[in-house]
Amino acid sequence: MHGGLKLQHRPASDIETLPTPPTLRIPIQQHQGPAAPVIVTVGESVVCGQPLSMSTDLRQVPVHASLGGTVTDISRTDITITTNDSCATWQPWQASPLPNPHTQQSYINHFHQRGLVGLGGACFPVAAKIDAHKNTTPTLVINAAECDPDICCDEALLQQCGAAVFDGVAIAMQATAASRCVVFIEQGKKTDTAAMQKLVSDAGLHNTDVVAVPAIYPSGAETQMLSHVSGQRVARNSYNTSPPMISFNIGTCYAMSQSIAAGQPLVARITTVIDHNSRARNFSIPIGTPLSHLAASLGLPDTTALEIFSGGRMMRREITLNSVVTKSHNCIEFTVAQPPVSVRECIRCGLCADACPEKLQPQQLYINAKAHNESALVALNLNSCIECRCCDHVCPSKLPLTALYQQAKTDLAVKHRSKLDADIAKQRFDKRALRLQRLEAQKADRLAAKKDTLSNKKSTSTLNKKQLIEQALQRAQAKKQHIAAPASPTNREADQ
Amino acid sequence: MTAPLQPERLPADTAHLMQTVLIALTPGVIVFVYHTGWGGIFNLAVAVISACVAEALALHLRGRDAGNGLSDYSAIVTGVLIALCLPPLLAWWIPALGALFAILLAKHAYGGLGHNIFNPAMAGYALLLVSFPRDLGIWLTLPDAFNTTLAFAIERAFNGGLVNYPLWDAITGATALDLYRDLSLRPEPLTDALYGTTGTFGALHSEWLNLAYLAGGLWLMYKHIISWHIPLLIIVSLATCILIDSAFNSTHIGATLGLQVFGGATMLGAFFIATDPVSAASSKRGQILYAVGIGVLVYLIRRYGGYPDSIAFAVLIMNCCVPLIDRLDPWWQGGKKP
Amino acid sequence: MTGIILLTLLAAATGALLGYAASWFEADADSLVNRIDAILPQTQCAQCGYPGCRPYAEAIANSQAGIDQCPPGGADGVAALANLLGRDVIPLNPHYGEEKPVALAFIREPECIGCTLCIKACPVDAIVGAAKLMHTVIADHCTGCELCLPPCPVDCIDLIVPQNTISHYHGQIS
Repeated sequence: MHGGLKLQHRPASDIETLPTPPTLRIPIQQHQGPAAPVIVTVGESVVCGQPLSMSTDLRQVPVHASLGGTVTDISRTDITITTNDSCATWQPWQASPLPNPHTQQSYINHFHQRGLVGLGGACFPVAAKIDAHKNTTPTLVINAAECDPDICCDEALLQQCGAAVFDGVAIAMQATAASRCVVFIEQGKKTDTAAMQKLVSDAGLHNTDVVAVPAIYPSGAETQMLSHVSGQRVARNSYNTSPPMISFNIGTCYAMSQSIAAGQPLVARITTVIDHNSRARNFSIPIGTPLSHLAASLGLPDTTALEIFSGGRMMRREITLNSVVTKSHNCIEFTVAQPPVSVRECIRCGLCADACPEKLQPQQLYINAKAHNESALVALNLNSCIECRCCDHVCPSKLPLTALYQQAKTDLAVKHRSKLDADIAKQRFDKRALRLQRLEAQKADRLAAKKDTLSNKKSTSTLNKKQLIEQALQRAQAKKQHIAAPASPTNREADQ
Repeated sequence: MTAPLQPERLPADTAHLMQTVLIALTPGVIVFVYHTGWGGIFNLAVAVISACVAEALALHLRGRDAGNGLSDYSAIVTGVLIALCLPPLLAWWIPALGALFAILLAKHAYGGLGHNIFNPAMAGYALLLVSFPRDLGIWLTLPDAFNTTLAFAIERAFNGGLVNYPLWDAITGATALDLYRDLSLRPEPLTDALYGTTGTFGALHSEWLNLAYLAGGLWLMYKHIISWHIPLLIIVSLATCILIDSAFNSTHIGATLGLQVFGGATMLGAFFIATDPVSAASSKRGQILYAVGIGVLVYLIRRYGGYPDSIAFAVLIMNCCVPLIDRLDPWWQGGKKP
Repeated sequence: MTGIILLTLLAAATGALLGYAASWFEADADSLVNRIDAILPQTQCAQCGYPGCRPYAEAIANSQAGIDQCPPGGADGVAALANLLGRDVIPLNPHYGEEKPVALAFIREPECIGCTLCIKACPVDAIVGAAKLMHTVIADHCTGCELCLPPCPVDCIDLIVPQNTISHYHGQIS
């Protein structure tokens, strides 16, 4: 891997549980893709693990009640549940086991119905990922390397539930029909290569290698990991490698094993929570737990003075106390608000380019992003930026580079989208114009034909004007009678 | 418990970066002062003070926070670099003019730190070189320079410098690079021609200055402030040119190589001037081209140009090429048209 | 004398070359129209005074229309046109309308009487419905041209600015 930063990881602590939250607010859309339709109503009482939304479309991942209780509100984005004490644990609600024989499609349906998404943070639907590789024998890549130095939930999971995790790896191998498996870890962790190999052999996995890379951030990021495993340069959002690779985070593997072993949907995830004293603890948190409840359980002081971030120190995004824990939150950090650093001008020192794991030119990107120079940004591969913030951290001028790139990427995406929309509108306009033209031509043809018949009539007709008027009167009479007696069959000859 | 975020040995911020450059310049400054005496100290003081005043003035005029701008130490670095290029016992307004031009025009007229196309210190020095070639061509030789008194330095500074001193011809001498340029005009063999201007391994006296800059530069590399690409490639391309030249003109390879690499402002230019990130190429590929360009130009100007030393002109010419080099870089990288 | 002949020959040769070059490199009118059309937003709103984006592009290419007549394209659109045609960037001509965020048509369905007038007015066929039956707008295809508003006899069409169409920061629903 090029660039990156040598950062010291936190040691993992045991997984703890939180006191039951009084209410849950479960976002309907927690994954990449559209939300599934809600299937519960306000006032309905739900048990833990009951689906709140359901769809047959693999991109529309269902969400489930993380705890038992009563649905008290359904908004456009969230479902609020007031929990009751008796339903704090998972109840086997319709725990249909995987139908035999275990076909790939049965795995896909099973994972989809249980709301499984990638738990590494990106929340890509598991079923859709397997479905996309259905007719291949991919290499399965298991990511046990935490990307961010602050996050230790995966390490904690390995230490406490290693066997279950590797049951999940075995299931993933079966579900993806993978020929080979690579378990990707970082050096210097407590669960080292030897421990991993023991877990692998205990789970009876074949064709499985353990690869340990130096702990240089962001080697655990997906593109870096896949590039390392495949030996090919893997571009972001187009993982076209040969053989194809399919990667899962170990948290996802654990969720897979739980969903097969107990039929359990994804109702809780393990999250590293860092308090204002920078102490990291791992919790198994029900999805939809309000952050205010989390803060209260940690015994945090005045939460208004704290800044809250999701996703570790490097890849973090600011969130508010009104947010809830979703399937994407691998780390939630409460920190004391820092005074803003004074930003200086870019001195083109190039430290950012040295640190960039994607070998981009962050400084050229910075100049062009500020100038909204879109063609240059595309030429400089802005969309390959994985937003790891290595450039932010080495920048001596303390420029908020990644934030600028995120903005520029959004702008590019909006521009791209509106360009596509314009193309569609143009096509539709052109087709409509053609259709109108055709109709016009047809109308003209009809008129011409009618004119022809009329002129023929005129030339052949020997009737005088008086007779013509009489005929017209007769026709009118006939029409009147026809309207008075609608049951009688239409006499179209009379009209002509 | 807090995981350390800042990787080791990387500069914390711009001010820290500039401070490190100043520290790295210290051995060079000490040797420079030893060689130039009170005249050198006076130049340093005037250049640094005028650079800081100019910086504050420019920031004030541009409506920026002058305190914040000055605290990045970049103006001090510019002042020191200009002074290190100047001979001692100049009229006081020469270093001041150089620093003012560097900061006001070469730096802030282009948008301040980070936006200047040209290296400010070299732009200032080049202005002085083309405006006052006679003043800047007079270097006091070592014992006299070291023995000058503060009173004499100040007296000369306010009375038009050494060039107006009736006896200056008696106490100064031509440098090795002056003689090297005129080699083709001289009938006698090289060793005789350069007699008295060569030292142990380079040009007399300035070899120690260059060694001090080299030491500071290596330390900067160790501190990850500069990368090896630019300095190494400047020296290698310069040396290659001299070797080719020697092969054709059968001059003494060792002597010319030594006085070129350890003479004049070679090391100062390679480690402290050409590596200025603002005016250098940004990518490593671009830096290689930039550095080779400087090395070749230094040789060409020293050998065939009208000035004995040429770091300033070589750097300024390559500064002109930097926008083009940067623009072509994605093309080299990915085969895409810029 | 030789000089005069030589110069005359040179002038003739240069003239021929220039004339040939002019015909050889003649700007392709069609490609220019296509390039202008590609910049226009394809709203087909006719606010420019032409019956669609393509006719307006043709008018610009023939120097019959200015580049400041497209309100949906906005200042960015004018700048892009100016860049393509090598003209100065000018502000949008307020006579043709003002730049505003794209708002999509939305039919208040209970009030729709099924007159089909809006269907006929829609330049991109984004309204579906039949006579005496309710109509609705296909939001994905609506360009926000507002051409359906004037014909509606019961004024049941609203313009709604869509909110946050690109759900960029997924998993951050608060």
